Amino acid sequence: MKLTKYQPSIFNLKEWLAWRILGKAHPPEWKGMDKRERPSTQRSIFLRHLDCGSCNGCELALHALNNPFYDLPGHGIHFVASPRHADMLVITGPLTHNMQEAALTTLNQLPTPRALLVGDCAIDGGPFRHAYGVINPEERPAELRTFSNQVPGCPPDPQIILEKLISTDLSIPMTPGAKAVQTLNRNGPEPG
Amino acid sequence: MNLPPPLPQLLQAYPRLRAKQAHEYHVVLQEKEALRQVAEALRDHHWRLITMFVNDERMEEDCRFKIYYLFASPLPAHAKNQNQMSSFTDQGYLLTLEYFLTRHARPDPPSSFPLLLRFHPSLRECFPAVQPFEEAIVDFFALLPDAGDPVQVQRMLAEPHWLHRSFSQTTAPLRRTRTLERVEEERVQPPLKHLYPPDPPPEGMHYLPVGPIHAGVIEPGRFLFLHGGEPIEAMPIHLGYKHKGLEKLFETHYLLAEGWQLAERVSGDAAFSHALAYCQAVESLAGMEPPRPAQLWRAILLELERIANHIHNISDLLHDISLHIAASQIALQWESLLQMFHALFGDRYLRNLVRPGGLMLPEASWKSRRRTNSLQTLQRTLEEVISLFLSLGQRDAWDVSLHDRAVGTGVLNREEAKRWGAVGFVARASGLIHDDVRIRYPQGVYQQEAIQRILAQTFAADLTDNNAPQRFIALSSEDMQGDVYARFLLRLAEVESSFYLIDTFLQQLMETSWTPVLRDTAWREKLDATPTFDASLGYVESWRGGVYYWVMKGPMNTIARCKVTGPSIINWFVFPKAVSRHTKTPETVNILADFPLINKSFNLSYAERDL
Repeated sequence: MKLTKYQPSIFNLKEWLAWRILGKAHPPEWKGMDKRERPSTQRSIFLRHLDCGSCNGCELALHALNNPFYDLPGHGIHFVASPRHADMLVITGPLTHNMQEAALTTLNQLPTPRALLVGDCAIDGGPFRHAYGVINPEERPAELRTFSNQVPGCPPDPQIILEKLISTDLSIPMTPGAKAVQTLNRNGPEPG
Repeated sequence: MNLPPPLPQLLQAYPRLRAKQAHEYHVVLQEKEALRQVAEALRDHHWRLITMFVNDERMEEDCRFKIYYLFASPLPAHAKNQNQMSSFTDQGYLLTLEYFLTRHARPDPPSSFPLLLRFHPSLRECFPAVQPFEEAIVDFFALLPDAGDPVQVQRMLAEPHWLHRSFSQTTAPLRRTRTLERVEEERVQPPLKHLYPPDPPPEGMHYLPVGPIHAGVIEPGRFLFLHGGEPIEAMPIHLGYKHKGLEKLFETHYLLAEGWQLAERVSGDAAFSHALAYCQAVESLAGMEPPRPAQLWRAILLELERIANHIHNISDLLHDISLHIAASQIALQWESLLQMFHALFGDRYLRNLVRPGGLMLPEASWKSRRRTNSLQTLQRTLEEVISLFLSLGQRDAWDVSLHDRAVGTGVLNREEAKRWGAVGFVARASGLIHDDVRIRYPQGVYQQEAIQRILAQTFAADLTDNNAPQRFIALSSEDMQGDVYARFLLRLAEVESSFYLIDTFLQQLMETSWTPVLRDTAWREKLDATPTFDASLGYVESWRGGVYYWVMKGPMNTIARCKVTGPSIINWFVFPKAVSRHTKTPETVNILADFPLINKSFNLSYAERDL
């Protein structure tokens, strides 16, 4: 194998377009569709990431979403810095005992509590299910127990997370206890 | 054989056990006084502490808690001359001290203490790096370092290290007498109070609490910045939010032959290194010898993981310096590497490949017919990705804004790195350029002279050898000043070294014949034949630094104890020293806005530390 000096132009438009158009980042049904009709241009989702004790494999998948190949911002989806700006939490990791308090506080700060569970351990504890520091999935607090939106995998492929995010319909509440949490919300403490 | 002092004297004075590898030694100490003398002798001869851990052997032969200390022989003094090559071939030694904890290590425990607590002699005066390990022992075994002052002991019990007071003080989850059910009964609701600083800040100062949940896709941890204006004066860190109890999980839910599955999930970004270190520990335990093609493949995959992570993190670093175009281009290269991993090895993060006794490659891409094609894909992708990455890195290394942000930021100088025991590329960037498992204790295919030469050529500008190939990144050991810039340059150079290492390994692989399933055929018999309560050590250089696994076999091929020591444990302890105002040179300060950059350049794993 040999290394050669590569002379990158400041912005290689051709290469970038090849990635965007020929790449697998877009769902097949978008081919030939007018850009304005694509679901991702109809609305934008703001996400807040919440790590409840993952092995950081799922974080790598979320990092990959931000690269130009999957181009999450290009679909109108952004990671934001505060739960108060967010439409939805992205939860990774089995809920550890030490994170329980912080996780609940964060969830209660969302205008409408919604969450996407990413990875096997966020859904049912995965390989960490029986560890003593992890809260049993059945014993999780009601607000964090059930979310219809899940992406299984250990860790999931970024492509699958992306498809799930694109197809998310924000008009449907995602937790059965959504209303109860909303009322709690008003008196919630400041996030840590 | 020329052993470094005081090893020959130790081996004469104290009983020794048979160690598994040629460069490992194992000495048994029973007296408190002997431990103190040995520690002082090791300190005087500049040995370094790698890890310290406790094993509960009260139900076994010796009926005691045992404390194990792992020491590494001193690094060779390096000078920029022709002898540099010889300093790279000078091998190191690992010394395990096994200390019997006597029943009454301290005659008068204060009456207010629970009876369960016990004391052990502290090595903190000789080796400051022992602190994080002693804190772990307080939490996991309820054994306290004998600090003398009861107030300090009380304080140590109250601080949130791993368990965060979410369990009662006497839980001691890793003691053999504690079942999982018993540990879970001891759970109490965690109070939020520990999130806030214990004392009011000094006059004119201000605490800025950050975390545990950060703004971005980052793992949780809490930082308390003490600052009066822009410069950061001090930065206490509270971690342990991700503590799951993996060391207990190894003991309760995994067999010796399956533990690699959990080891891969200790830290997701270093999955292959952790699984490999675990497997090496098991192999050394059972006397297994992986076939040579498996060793070559393991080395190739280890270097691939290093390349992928360095590329990803350099991209993040450039993003923080606002060099967005270069950052995006490099991020694309990272993505194409990961997709290549997925296509050829079945997983984006190289999981599910290594097994005790060998390696199993996916048949789909490595069967005899597909092999040439797969190898070509691997080579072509690597050539393209690394050529582009190094060209961009070489150009950006001279970028004015990068210099402005990175030079002189987050300095961890050589003395500090040595004193606090930094490991991995952090230590190498601080001038301890030999702190590398591949150089100090090379195993298997890393022992070849050609490989050691490539590793030495990472610091190409030091070499006066005219035959040495021209490097993209001509690094000099004098560049290693311990700042963000040094860490950036070093990681560029390491990617290049890894590229040449993979090239050499691939050439050697082509000369041998191999199948996708490469495993010691008698691995199961050898595992069964291993005596119970035998223990062994496995270590590899992950991209972050040395990963050490200490595995003890239990009855029926279970794991009696698996101690995981990743580089993040000690480097999280060192990290605040690089951020805070330096005590010796108070004019060296870092401002708050520099913190994310320093954090990215250290790039530590929370999961690897919290376990």
